[in-house]
Amino acid sequence: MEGARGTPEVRSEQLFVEMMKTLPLGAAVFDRDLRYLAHNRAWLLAHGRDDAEDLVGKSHYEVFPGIREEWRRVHERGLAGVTERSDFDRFETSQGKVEYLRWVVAPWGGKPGQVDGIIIYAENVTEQERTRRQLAERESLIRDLFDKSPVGLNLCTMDGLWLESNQAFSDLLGYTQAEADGGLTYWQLTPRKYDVQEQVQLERLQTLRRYGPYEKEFVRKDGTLVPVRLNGFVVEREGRPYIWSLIEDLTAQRALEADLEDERLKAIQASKLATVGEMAAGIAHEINNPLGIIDAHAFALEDARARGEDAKIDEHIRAIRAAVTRAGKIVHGLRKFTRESMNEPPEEVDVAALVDESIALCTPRFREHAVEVRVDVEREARVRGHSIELGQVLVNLLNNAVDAVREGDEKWGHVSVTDDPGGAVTIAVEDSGPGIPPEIASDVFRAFFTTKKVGEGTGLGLSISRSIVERHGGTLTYEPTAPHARLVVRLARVGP
Amino acid sequence: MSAPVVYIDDEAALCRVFEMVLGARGIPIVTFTDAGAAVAYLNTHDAVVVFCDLRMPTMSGLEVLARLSRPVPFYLISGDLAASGATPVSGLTGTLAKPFPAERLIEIVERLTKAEGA
Repeated sequence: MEGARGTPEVRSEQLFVEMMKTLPLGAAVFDRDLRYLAHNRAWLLAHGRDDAEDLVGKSHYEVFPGIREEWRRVHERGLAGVTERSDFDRFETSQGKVEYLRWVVAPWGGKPGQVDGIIIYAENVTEQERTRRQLAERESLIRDLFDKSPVGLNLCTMDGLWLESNQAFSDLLGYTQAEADGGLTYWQLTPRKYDVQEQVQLERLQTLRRYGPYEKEFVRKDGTLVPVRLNGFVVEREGRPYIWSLIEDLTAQRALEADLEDERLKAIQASKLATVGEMAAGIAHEINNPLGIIDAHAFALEDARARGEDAKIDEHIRAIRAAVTRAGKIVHGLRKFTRESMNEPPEEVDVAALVDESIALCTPRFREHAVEVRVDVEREARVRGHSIELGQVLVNLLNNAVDAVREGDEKWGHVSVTDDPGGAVTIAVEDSGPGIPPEIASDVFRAFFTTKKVGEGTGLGLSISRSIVERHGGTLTYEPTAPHARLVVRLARVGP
Repeated sequence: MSAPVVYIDDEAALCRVFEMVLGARGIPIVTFTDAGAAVAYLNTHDAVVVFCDLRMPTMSGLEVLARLSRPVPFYLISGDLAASGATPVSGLTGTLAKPFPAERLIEIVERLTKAEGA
């Protein structure tokens, strides 16, 4: 290698110095007594020392008197020809600071098989180690959150293949995490009846990059359905989109809702039976009168037969049948009214028929108190709901009207139904009574509020009525047309 | 002409059928669906017996009885449960609960007609 480029000795030493200077690691060369033969600036920095210091000729153990015993052994093993390394070696500086070193200890020798000392490469990796630890800590924190979250969490591909589920989610579905991840798809566990809603959520996902809140059911491993609420969003991982979903189990919520609904239906039924109790006298009257008529006509019929007055027989039969029809009507109305309204799906309700039936049920009381009833009904009006419950509202309002006017001189009630094609069906019950005194107008919809005598009213009528109407998405309000009382039910119309 | 039976009930069908039942037996009967008109009639005419409905819109059967200025056998007819145990009232001969068999009414009428005839 000799020639124009200079002597090899000079060149190799220069190269060595350049290398040491630019090496991003601390490096030091020692003789067999661990005296410094050479070191670079990075070595000083790695050990937290002044970077202008020159350690050549000094003993490593004098420079670092507090050096640990295990280090001395590593040095000894190096001198014995063994190369050792450590990626994260914790040590305390002379100031008591904890730092981390990455190091390599390797033997060197002038001739093959001969060890003249050791070379140590050291890099202070305290910062990196601190970052790594912080990341690991965060990772463990997030992992805990993921694993222990009571909300189901799931990562899936855009096609719905599940990649990662937490315990809550796999428990919810009855699968093990191993079964769920990579083996199941969203679509396998989604009942077909949700196809339309799924399409809506998919569109949201495409346009908004998120979906939900979306309530649906999943099919569990045992085939049962579990109600859930989903929320999710799209994330990018290595340039590809995935969906993170949050899955809440609605089983408990649904059970609570069912209990509340049950309580509500019981309250409605109790209030209805109380109403029937209040109407019992009038109803008995309405049934006993036709019975009396039937008996008397049957008696007269026997008379006519005995006398051979055949012409009269037909008249009696007709009268008997008319009386049976009349009594039957009230019994039918009563049976319909008292039937328990189960948790049935809403149906289309013919408002005119509803008004007719309710008035028929209240007719005995109207008649008893000589209250005149006028009805103006737009025949086509239709709403969606439960006719038994809505009938209860009307019977309540009509009974209240009777109570309001029966002591007065002017005694009438007016039921009107208007059907606004652009909006609502309005059922208004107005009466000739003095109206509700303004100071209690806001109280009348409260439960147990009543102005009636003990035994005449439960104070539940208007409160239950309002709750029924509101459950139908409508309103029940007091809108007096001075000087008369007027209660107004508004419900969304259905049909053309 | 002997005094008629007076039947008062806002239920027109009952008035009509008793007119037929008693009429067929040759018993004179006058019926009223309006209590006020009945009171006016009874205070100016004789009657062998009065049958009067308790619950009527304009006036109750007891009010009718109270407004009578002349004594007359008076039966109150009640069509509901509340009146079944009505307390005794002066001037009241008896009560009939709806529905009652037509024979009951005829029996009363015949008893009183015989008594009057005797």
